[in-house]
Order: sequence, then structure tokens, then C-alpha cells
Amino acid sequence: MRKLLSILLFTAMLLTLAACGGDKSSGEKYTLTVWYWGEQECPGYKAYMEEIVQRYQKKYPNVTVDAVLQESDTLYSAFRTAESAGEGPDVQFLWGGTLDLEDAWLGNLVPVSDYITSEQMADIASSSLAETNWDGKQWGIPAYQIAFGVAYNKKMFADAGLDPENPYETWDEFIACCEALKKAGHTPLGFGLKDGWLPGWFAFYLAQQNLDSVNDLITCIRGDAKYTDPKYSEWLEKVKELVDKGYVNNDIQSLDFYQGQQLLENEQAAMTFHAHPYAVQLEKTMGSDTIGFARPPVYGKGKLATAIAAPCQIYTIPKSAKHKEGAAQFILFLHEEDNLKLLYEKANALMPNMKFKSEWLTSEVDKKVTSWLKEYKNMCYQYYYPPMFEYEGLVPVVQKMFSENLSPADAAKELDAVFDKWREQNPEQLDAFKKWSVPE
Amino acid sequence: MNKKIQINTAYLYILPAFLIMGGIIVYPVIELIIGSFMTVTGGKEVFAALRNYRLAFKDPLLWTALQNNLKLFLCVPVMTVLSLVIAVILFNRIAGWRFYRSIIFLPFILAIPVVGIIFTYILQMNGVLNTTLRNLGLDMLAIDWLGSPTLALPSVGAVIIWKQLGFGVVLFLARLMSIDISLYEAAEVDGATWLQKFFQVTVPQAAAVIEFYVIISLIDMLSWVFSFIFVMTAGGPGNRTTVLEFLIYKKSFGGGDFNIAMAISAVVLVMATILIIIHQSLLGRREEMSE
Repeated sequence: MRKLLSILLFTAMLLTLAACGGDKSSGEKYTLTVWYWGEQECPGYKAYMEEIVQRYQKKYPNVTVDAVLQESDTLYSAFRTAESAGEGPDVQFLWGGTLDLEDAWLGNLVPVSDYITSEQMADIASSSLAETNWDGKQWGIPAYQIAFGVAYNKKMFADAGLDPENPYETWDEFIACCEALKKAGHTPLGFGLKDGWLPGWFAFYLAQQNLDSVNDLITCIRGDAKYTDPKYSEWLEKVKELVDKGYVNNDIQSLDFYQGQQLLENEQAAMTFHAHPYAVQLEKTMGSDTIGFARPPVYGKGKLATAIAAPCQIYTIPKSAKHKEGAAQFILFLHEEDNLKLLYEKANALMPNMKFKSEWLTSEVDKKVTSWLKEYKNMCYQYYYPPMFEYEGLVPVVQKMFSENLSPADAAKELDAVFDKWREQNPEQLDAFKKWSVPE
Repeated sequence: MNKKIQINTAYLYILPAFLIMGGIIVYPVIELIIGSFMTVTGGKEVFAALRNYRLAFKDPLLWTALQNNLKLFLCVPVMTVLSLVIAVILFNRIAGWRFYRSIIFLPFILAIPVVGIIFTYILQMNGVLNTTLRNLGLDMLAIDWLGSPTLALPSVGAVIIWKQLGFGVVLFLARLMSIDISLYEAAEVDGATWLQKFFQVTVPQAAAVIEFYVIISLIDMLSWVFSFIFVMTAGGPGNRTTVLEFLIYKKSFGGGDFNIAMAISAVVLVMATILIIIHQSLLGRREEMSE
């Protein structure tokens, strides 16, 4: 019996050694393909990635990293096309939440937790990991964390007789700001609606405010509540108020999202929505006496009324990746302390990792954002609805509110119908949602 | 025996072309049709019978997109008439006709995204056109051409006409130049006016080319306008310019179902095939008549 036990232990030891020694990342020469994104919302991310590639190749001389920056419009289509042909990259950047999990449900990804242990993920904030945790497995590891807020021109606020350092807190105060700015001859809000990114942003600035938890939204998606309930749809009335009162640039339908944001830096609008790294860039180029960054205005009564959207974009391992162990090693490399510092220095992006030091922060916007993260809950509405809800629901509905005067009640009915359609067309994803419970 | 070898040799010569055609046309079509009857369950494709077609036809977006494609069909008579008229004017050898022919053909060789981006800048609310109109004091005509629910699709249609016109002009002009000149001389002897010559000689003689152009343009309006829509309006505002191709793209890559997108693609394929069959039957009838 003891002999048998010894043989079994010896075999187990050999298998363990073989598993370690057989890791392609340890010796064999190969090229690791990384398809990434991020420059669009964190200017400097491309430079960061180029430096990371240098550092990684220095540390692992057997690996050549081929990092390719993707476009926003083709991030998903390029990946899914490549994946359906079995030619996906080794590491794929995706947006988080359901924008990642959908590809997991489509079978395009393998769980990263198959290659990265929970000990190796221990330093990463559990709230950020929860965004892409489903069915007990981890499907993405944060690439960076961004917070969304309202970037505004302090000089225009002062010109309108407003306090540039404390612009507003509540929705009513926000509307009062808009009115004052309009009276002073400024366009209060600069937006672009043509390419369809803005409606999703409206949702994660406003739509969660009557919810008590993420699971309230999941309940509605499952079909156990109606979207026409004001708890879910009151935010549409707020959007309509902006339309009716003429607080938005007159060419909103003609402009793409980024063009709408540029109205702020061109001093043609007083406020716009921005991810905080971009606001930091504006703070650097236009000065902290010109650019401010505020939380979305609060109107709701739910526990998430004051929550801010501070989601993580993530790295995943595609099913067709040829070097999955190498991919995991690369992703973990990004979470080494020196590289977290590099991420901040080059791209002003944060990382929800305990090794990320607050003393590295240099900008007022970053300091404000990190204080928000300590004080308020983090919930990114967009990460918990099926992507079809955005493309077939939010985008046309919000466009119609601006172009056809669609009422909030009719908008809510249309959005509810999209959930009905999604449930009918995606029974498997519906099952996935039924299994999904996000930790409070 | 020799004849058999000759036939086999002929088959051997066409084999590479046959294989290439099979690889790039037949195989994807077969894959598309098979995929349209499948669905993904547990990461695996399983047979789903008519599920995708049922869901596609039940989706109001399909009908919106189809309606928009049919509205774009209205561009075809405009393009055809304009092309024919311009071709006839050029055929009359007006001064500088070769230069005009080149200028008119130029938009056709431009890449669609380039045309789309340029016209987006021209037609947007604060774009070149509206700025000019405002400078001329015509503020009330300064409309959001691509952002208005009623004007967005006609605006895209106008850009398509502008780009595609050159192809029709060159096609018709080539046909006019090959018409037997004696037909016109005979008509002139009979005292025919310009309009009579146009309707009694030019149009009948160019009928086959007109038919070809109309059918090709209809197929274009059904399955070739994606780039215009993608660049100029992204299907908006509020799906007012969503066409079938754009819907397929959105269903495939915008959080929809790839297999439902395949079913819609199969529907577009059937519609395009019907148009090709109509063209072939018209062509066959014309050949029979000429024999």
C-alpha cells in the first residue's frame, strides 16, 4: 500500500513538474498577439502599451509581443470575425460586464481563472472582478479603471455667475446651472449622438439612480419587472427635460460622440460627459483653472442614487488563443507594481489593485475621482444589460427623443419591448442572466 | 477518343477558375444557408429549423430596414433618367464633352467612405451647405439634413445618386456610340424632333443596357449601400436609415444573434437572386426576339 502511495505521489510530482516545465511561456520562442484598445478614452494608453511590450520582451526574451491597437467601431466585430475563423489573438481587450460576458456565453472566451489562480488575483479589488465574474468563473482581468463624470469649463461657469468649484449636486441644481449658462450665451451641454455611443452614457450617468442594487436591474432584464416602472424609466424624463429646455448643442444629431466632447475643449459648450483620464488630459492642456470634473447630478431615491460609474475595461483570453498560459502571464505582468505606475504615468488610468499607490496621483481630477471611489458606490449600468438593449433599444430611442420628440412614456415602452425581444431571441443568455447574481 | 481527351482538357483548364469561384462564392453561400438554420447552445451550433427566420420576420426592425431599402429603390429611376439624359447631351458632342464625361465619372471611382465623410461634413447641421445657406440669409433652409428623421434617408439617397451617376452615363454613352448612325439620319429625313429621336431611336436601341443598369442598380440599393449608411448616419436617427445590410451588421456584431443575421442575409440573397433571374429572363426574351 505504501509503495502504491509512493508511486502515486511520485507520478503526481512528475505531472506537476511537467505542467510547469511544459508552459510554453517559460522557454519556447513564440509571438504573443495582443489586440488592445484604450487610447480613445485614456490618451497615452498606446504609449503605455509600447513601453509594456519593451519591458515584457526584456523580461521574457523568448516572447515577441505583437500589440495591435483596435478601433472603437471594430473592436468587437474584428474579434468575433477572427474568433469565428479560429484566428483570434492570444490576449483580447474587451469592455467589461455583459460586453465581456456575452462573448463568454457565445463561447468565444475561456475563463481566465483557468490560467490565473485566485491567489494571483488577490490584490485586485473584488468589486471590479465581480463585473466579469459569472458562473463561479472569472472571464476578465482589469486593464484599467476609469470613472465617468461631467467635465466642465470653470471659466464659463464663472461667467454665468456660478461657483466653478462647487457647480451642483442635485438634478435641480444642475438644471439651474444649465439655465444660467444658457442665459450667459453658452451652450450648456456638448454632445454627439450620430454614432450611437451617447445613449449608453446617458444610461450609466442617470438610469441606476432609483435602483437599490444591480440585481434590481437584472430582475427587470429577466422579465420579472417592467421597464415602464418609473423606478427604471424616470431617467428618460430627465433626458427629455434637456431636450425641451434646449440645453444641448443644436447639431447633436450630426456629430459623433467624440466630436460632441470636443465642443468642450473648443470652448463651444460648457459641459460634456467624459471618462476621467480624458478630463485629466484636458486639465493638463487647458489648465486646472479652466477644467473641472463633477459627479453626475443626483435625482434618484435608490441606494445607487449617488453611485458613480467606475468600470474596468478588461483583458480576456480568447478560446482560439494559441498561447493561453503566455496570455495569462502577460495579463499578470500588467498588474506588477512598476507597470501599474507606468499605466498611470502614461495614460492617467487607475487600476483597482492594492499595489496601486494613491501617492502617485498628480492631477486634481484623479484625486477627486479616488475620493469618490472611497465615498460612493460603484455601479456601471451598461455592464449589466445585454448589449442588444443598447444597440436596438437605447440608441434609437434616445435618438428619437432628440429628433422626433418621442415622449419618455413611449420611450420606456419601446425599451421594454426590446427586453421582450431580447428574451425571445436569446433564451440561452436569459438562462445566463437567471444564473447571475451580483454580490452586493 | 480524341474528342473525349479534348473535353477533359477543357474541363481541366476551367478547373482552377471553378475551384476559386467555388471557394469564394459557393462555399460561403452554403455556409450562410446552413448557419441560418442553426443556433448556438452551450457554445456549440445546433440545428434550429426555422427559428432564426421566424424571429427575423417577427422583428419590426427587419421590416423597417426593408422599407428603407425599398425607398432607396426610388433612386434608380432618378439615376437612370439623369444618366440617359446626360449621356444623350454628351453624345451630341457639345464642346468639351470628353472633359465633362471624365468629371461626371470621377465620383464613381472615389471610395465610398471618402464620399460619405465629405458629404457628412457638407450636410451636417453646422456643415458647409448650411453655413453657406445662412450666409446667404436663407436660414430657414438650413436643416439638419442627416439628423432629421424625414430628410436623412433622402439625403443619403442623393449622395448615392451623385456617386453612381457616372457609371450610368459612361454605360449609356458607350451604347449610344455604337448605335447605327443611319437610324438617326433616317429619322431626321422623316423630320423627327430631338425628343422623337430620343424616344423612338435612342431609348429602344439602348433598352438592353437600360435594363441591365436598372437591375444592377436595384441590386446595389439592396445589398451595396452599407458603407454609405455606416459612415453617414450609422442607421439613425432612430433607425430611420437602417437598411438590411446595416441590420445584418448590427445583429452580427452589435449584441444580436449571429445566426439570425445569417437568416436575414439569406433573405437578402433570395431577393437579389430574384432580381438577377428577372434580368436573365428579360435578356433571354430579348435574344429570342432578335433571333
